[in-house]
Amino acid sequence: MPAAKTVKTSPALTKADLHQAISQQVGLSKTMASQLVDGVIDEIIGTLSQGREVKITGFGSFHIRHKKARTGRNPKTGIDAVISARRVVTFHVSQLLKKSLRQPQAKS
Amino acid sequence: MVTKDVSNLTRSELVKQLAARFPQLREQDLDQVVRLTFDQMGQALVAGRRIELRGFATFSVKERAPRLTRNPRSGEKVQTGVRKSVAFVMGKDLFDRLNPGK
Repeated sequence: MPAAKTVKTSPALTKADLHQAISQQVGLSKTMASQLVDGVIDEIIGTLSQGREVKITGFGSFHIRHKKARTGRNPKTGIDAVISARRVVTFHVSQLLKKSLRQPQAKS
Repeated sequence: MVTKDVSNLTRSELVKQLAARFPQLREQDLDQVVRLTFDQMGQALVAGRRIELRGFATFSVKERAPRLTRNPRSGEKVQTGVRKSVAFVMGKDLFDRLNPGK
């Protein structure tokens, strides 16, 4: 399978963009918008850290995976190192969003 | 699935949890905030933009090259279009909170 290539793009969406959209469309201050965005992120992280999943309809879902410890290698030095057991988050795009990604023009 | 899995956090529950955190705000506004947040994120990805949320994660769009596949029923060759998927990379804060002391 050919390697997937990252799509080169114009500036990334950042928290500042979200603050802007919230303050404009919901009519809240930028400061409040900032607290809300951090609040959303904090709730998601809190839920995941309890081992629960997060499902946002129309966007995607976040899951937790438990990784066992394994031996890896420091790519710079070539020295073997143990990669400790850890919890990682995986993200799955919703079918709806996947469809829009395939046909951007289909979305109004 | 008919039964609702209470162990998952959904958009509506996220709104409720935010309401507990921000009692001074109306729940309908919080609902709009959450909707807007994920709409903006989705639209950014559709437009091919990356999403960088400090303390949480980075999302980027990956394109997979088109390839020839076969319709298993008719045996016909089909050119499968360019597929796009979203790559997710955990941020440091997210990692640290899931793996304290590492």
